[in-house]
Amino acid sequence: MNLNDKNTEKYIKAFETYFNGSVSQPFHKVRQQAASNFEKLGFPTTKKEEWRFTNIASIAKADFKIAEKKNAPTVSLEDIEPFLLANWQGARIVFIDGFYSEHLSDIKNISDKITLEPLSSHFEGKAGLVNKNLSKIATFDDEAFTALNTAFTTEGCLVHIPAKVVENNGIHIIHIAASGRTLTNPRNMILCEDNSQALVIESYHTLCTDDVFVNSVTEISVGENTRLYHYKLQDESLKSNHISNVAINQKSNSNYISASFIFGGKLVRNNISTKLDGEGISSTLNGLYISREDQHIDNNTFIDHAKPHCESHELYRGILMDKSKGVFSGKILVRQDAQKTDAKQSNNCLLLYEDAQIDAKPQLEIYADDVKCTHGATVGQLDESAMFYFRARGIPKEKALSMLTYAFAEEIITGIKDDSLRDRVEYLLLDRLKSHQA
Amino acid sequence: MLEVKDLKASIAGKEILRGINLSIKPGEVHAIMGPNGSGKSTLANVLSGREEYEVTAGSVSYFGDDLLEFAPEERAQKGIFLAFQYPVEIPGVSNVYFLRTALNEIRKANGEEEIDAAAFLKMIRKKMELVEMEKALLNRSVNEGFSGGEKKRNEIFQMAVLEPKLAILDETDSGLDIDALRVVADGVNTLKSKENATIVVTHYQRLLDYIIPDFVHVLYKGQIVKSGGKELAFELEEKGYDWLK
Ligand SMILES: Nc1ncnc2c1ncn2[C@@H]1O[C@H](COP(=O)(O)OP(=O)(O)OP(=O)(O)O)[C@@H](O)[C@H]1O
Ligand SMILES: [Mg+2]
Repeated sequence: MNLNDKNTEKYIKAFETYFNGSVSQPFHKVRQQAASNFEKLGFPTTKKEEWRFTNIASIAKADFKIAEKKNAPTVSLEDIEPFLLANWQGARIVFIDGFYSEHLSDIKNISDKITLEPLSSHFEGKAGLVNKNLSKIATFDDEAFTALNTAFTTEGCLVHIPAKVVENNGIHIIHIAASGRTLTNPRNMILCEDNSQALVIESYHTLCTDDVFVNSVTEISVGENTRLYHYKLQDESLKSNHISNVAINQKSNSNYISASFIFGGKLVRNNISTKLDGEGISSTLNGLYISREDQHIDNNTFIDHAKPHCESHELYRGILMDKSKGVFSGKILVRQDAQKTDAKQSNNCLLLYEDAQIDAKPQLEIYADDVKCTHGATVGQLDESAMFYFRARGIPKEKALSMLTYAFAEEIITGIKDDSLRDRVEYLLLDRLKSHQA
Repeated sequence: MLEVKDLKASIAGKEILRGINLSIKPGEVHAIMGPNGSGKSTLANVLSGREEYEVTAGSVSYFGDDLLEFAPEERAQKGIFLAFQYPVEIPGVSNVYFLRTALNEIRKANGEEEIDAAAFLKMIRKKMELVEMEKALLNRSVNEGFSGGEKKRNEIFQMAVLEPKLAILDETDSGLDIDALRVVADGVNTLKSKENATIVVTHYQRLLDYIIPDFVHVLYKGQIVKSGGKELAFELEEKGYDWLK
């Protein structure tokens, strides 16, 4: 038995000891099934194609205890101040170690038709939104981390936008890992019914100095004629291992516009997958990351073109410093039915000095004949001669670096729909550059 | 304005400049000629502050200050301009933004106010005419995809905007057709004044038909082996460098 297996077993034992019980509820049945799937799958190794460039052995072997509500430390508003967005007009809901914190949340300025609550309020009775949708989009048959998350989902965030509700003020979901040497399993469910519109930001932060393992899952359904802006901001410590799975299902004529921003984390793996399950759909998956020291940032995207007349746009930009490593895998599947598909993917990296490294793997699988699919990848370098060129014109080093990097990231930053978030992303980008030089 | 004394410099442990002496006064044009690999670009780069080169001996004084003490950007802010032999491509940063930032950094360092966008555009329009540069190049990324000639022209355009006190043109003439050569030379001549000086590094006497040098120096194996007036350039054109060895 190797260490992986031992730890898999450990988590299963924990599941049985702490969380099993009330098996009668459908929700708990799903959890139990997830637990047994996780037991069967175990942690993935680099032998698995999707994990070829990212070795998670350090996570599998480490001794993380499972987050428990009773152990979650007390966190004050002052503690989370740095994570709040300046001039934010919308609502915010805060989770500590995956557990809802009422006193830190501020649910205001959004339509009262919208549900913004911990998932756990909906486990029983009522409309059964959670039971009906849980694990339907983020399936766990072949996803060990999603299975693990599902098994340990106790609370989590539910965002429900009913049909025809157009909400221009945003919803900010804040997840904070506050207990060291702990595995937390944040869970989000964003359900947008037909003809609605919303903007949701998920952000992830750390409030402890020890290693943590954050394993998050977000399930999103976007109804017909619905528009969802969805941003994920990951600004965790360099001791955070962050594995996330964002799974989306889109119905006809919907528009899903997303961007993922990565500023922290030691080992980061972001899966995002969207199923274009109708006609006339548009989907945008953008990503921006800046890595330093020995960070490992893996973005894994999957766009499933299932029906005709849909378009997808993917633009990933990575700025790699020091000895950090980036991985980008972009799979686009165009099924036989999906004629007139228009899919664009581009992945660009900027290596700043040192020994940064990038592995990129586009993967187009096309089974329809009347489609437009393009992909491109570039790796640029800021070398000594470019830097000298700036300086020989009177522009100091720091300014040169920020000009170059900003120019590189600009397209993604200016595309952010929300001003508060745009300011924050801009600030974080320049801050990472500055601290790198200091 | 510039006094170079017994300057020695090396790169990767290899000595390239082996004792250079050079004295330049305001208003003068100095041509530096010499065979490939003799150290012309090295001298230009050392004067501009490129850090890969290690100065091992000698001194450079610039308006009485120790030039070698200053970082490259400080030298630029004090009026030194290097027109690169191989201008660098800067993807994503537009030519016009790059140049305005450069100008403003130089102005700030000299206690002057920053120039606003409108005034800047007005000013550069004139300078563009001077070097006959295409307007389209302004909004493109710095040097990215520029032809060889366009890159050289862009260097002279930058020089025209930044108005340096000491311009060092490192083979700005190579790769230029005869019209472009004339334009570049016109640019240099128009900008010439009693206060500023120019160092022209070149292989060809033809450039010196347009930019008349006050002095011609021959650099050979890291030393100035001969200096003279403009007639020295003709002599070199005729006889090559062998007779100097
Ligand atoms: N980075 C480097 N590493 C090692 N040697 C170098 C380096 N840069 C320059 N040199 C060497 O220094 C010597 C002088 O080079 P330099 O570029 O100054 O010559 P140059 O006179 O400008 O020649 P050219 O007429 O070809 O432009 C050459 O032998 C060159 O190979
Ligand atoms: Mg040279």
